[in-house]
Amino acid sequence: MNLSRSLQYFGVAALAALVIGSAIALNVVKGRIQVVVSEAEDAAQRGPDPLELLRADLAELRAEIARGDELLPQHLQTVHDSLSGDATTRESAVRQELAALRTQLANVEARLETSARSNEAARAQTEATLQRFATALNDLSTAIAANAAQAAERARVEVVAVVPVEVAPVEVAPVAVAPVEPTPAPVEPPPADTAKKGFLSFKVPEKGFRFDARQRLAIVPSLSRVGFDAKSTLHDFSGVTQKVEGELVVDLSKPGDAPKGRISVECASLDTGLADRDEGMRELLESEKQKQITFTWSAFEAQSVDTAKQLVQGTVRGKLAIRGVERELAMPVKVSVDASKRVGIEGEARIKLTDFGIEPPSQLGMIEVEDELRLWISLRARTLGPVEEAK
Amino acid sequence: MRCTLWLALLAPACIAPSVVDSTGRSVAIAATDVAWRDAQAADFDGFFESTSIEGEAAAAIGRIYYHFAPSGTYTGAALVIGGLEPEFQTLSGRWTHGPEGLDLGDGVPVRASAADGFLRLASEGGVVTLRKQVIE
Repeated sequence: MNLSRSLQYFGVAALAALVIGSAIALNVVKGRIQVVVSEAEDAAQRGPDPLELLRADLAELRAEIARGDELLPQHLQTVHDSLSGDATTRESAVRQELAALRTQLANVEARLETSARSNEAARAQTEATLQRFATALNDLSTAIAANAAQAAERARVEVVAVVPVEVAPVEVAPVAVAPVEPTPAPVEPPPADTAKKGFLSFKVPEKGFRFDARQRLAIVPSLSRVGFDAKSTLHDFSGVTQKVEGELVVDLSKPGDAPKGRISVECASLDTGLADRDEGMRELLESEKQKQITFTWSAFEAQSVDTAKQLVQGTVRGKLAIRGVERELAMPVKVSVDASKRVGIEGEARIKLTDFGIEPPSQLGMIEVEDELRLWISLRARTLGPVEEAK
Repeated sequence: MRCTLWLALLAPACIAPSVVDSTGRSVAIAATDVAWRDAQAADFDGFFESTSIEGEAAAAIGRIYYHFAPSGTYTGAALVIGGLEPEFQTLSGRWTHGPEGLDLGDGVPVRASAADGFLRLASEGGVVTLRKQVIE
């Protein structure tokens, strides 16, 4: 007990001594110590506070985690959408491919069906063609037999030596000339057939004659004739030539639709059957200066157009030039198509010599050639093909 | 001079009329009363030029030439019209002649007739009359 109390007293005494000693020491050194407080310098000397740095890092991490939390659903949605979109696109593409394949399959099936039908049709057509050939052969045999009978009949009444040349020379005998051969009758138009055909191993082009197309037609001189018939007081005569050439452009189914053309005749070739008369005629026509008689076709007034029979009738209008003098001419014509798809043009018109500055020949006022002549044409033209032009 | 001219024109006045009959103005297309006979192989020897082409082919072919050699070869040319410009189409091959006619190598015999110096070939597309020519 005494010891405890002694220690208490000793403690109090020591504490008092420490306080007194500290006060004395402070009093001794207080004039020698200067305390300067500079927070910035202190902080700079100390450097960043690690604790604050850790707190900042922690706050930043928390913020990032928070942002991540916010973005995660969006990213997940994006990934989901993306995966869903790819699947949809792939499915769409597959569906399209499938549809294309189905279409192709349908096309193939259709082609097969069409081919089968075509084969049937071709077979039917071939059979029909064979049938037509058989019919045509029968008709031909009948015609040959009929012709043979007619030829035998003719042979009994006349003997004619004929040389197989293409064109008989023009001969104007001093008597009325008998027809050499009648103009071929117009033929029925063949069925439309644009297939390329062969003829004696040659390939005939598809562009053939068409009645209902605007086309160029070239006069075939060897199958054409132009002439005139003149009357005189005592003697009538004709002048004829085959020196004729030219081209026409026309749609025969619409002959009035801007036809055009030009036909030329060589003056000096006109033949009346008498050399002296021909010479006089050439002088009248001044054939040395004006070598051609020309007709320029500029219009057609159709009276009838029979497309089925390929016949046209109407009046050709244009300008006729003789000896350099040009006059309007209207000539009624008949146009037909022969079996060789050549266009035949037959027509005649009356003209007056005086209209062209030619005085009709006269001798002592007693023997005279009439002023009026009958001008006629018998032309054949072949197609040169269709024309595509601005009318 | 003028008087002489009129005399020349009127001198034949005493001669009978020589007017071309209106039905005889057209040109004969081809003679048909020729005594054609069936062609023999010997008729094909030589060079031929067409004098007439009738039928559908006439609308597209202006002229045809053939040269047939006895050895069995031939060459031919056709002036084809109907395009922009006329052009020659040529052929070469072997020809044979039998009971069915002339075969130009395409297996489609054509009827062949002959007369003195002439050949006539008839096929579905038309009839061509050829005159024998001398190659100069």
